[in-house]
Amino acid sequence: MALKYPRSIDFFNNNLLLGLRNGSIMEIKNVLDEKSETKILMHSHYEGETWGMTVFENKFVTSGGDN
Amino acid sequence: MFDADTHELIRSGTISKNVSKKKEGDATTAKGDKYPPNKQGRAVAVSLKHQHLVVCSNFGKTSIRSLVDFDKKIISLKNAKEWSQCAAYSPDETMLAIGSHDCHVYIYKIDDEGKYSFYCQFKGSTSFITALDWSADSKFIRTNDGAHELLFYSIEDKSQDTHGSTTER
Repeated sequence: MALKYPRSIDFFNNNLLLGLRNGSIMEIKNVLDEKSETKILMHSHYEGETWGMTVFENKFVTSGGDN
Repeated sequence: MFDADTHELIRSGTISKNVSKKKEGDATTAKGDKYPPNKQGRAVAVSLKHQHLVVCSNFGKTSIRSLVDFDKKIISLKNAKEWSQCAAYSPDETMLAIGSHDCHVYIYKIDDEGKYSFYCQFKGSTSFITALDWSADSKFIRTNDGAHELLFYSIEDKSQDTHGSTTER
């Protein structure tokens, strides 16, 4: 997916929090250490508009202008 | 497809790998976007019984895909002349209703093997279909359109039920 660059950034207690252009939120734990851990807290996709959504079980499917 | 509890992406697929397609009367919302209309998703719906995912593109094609592999296309439905803004399976998952910008609703029958066949077409609306619902018994649908008309249709009779707001209470 396109547009995966950071839009906002915060650093606290050796952890880095990133808000990406495509709406995703990710966290890099222990970013100054040799062993850092990257975790995506919320996945998203973005380009154009979001048009379709359907919900089933505990999942949902979305469609939009980003192919 | 996302998991609502963990916020994680479970699966994704590509709407179209074909080259850019454009035709007269593109969706007004499609203009100025990075991707061409055949790569823009519109309505989506899921059938758990058949493990199918329906995706309607802004180009006007409706593709049925596998819920396990979004890039595995099962069939393309091309009856609608313009893009479709809503899609819904009947509650018993034997029918699929597609509401299109060409003012018509297209009903498809699905057999037990998951094969789709065109069942009927409703032409009651004078404007594009904005939303549609099924009745709980899968025998009626109700649509709303761009002229703000609420219309009812009987699936069994393949016709509009002009007394729908009274008889289907």
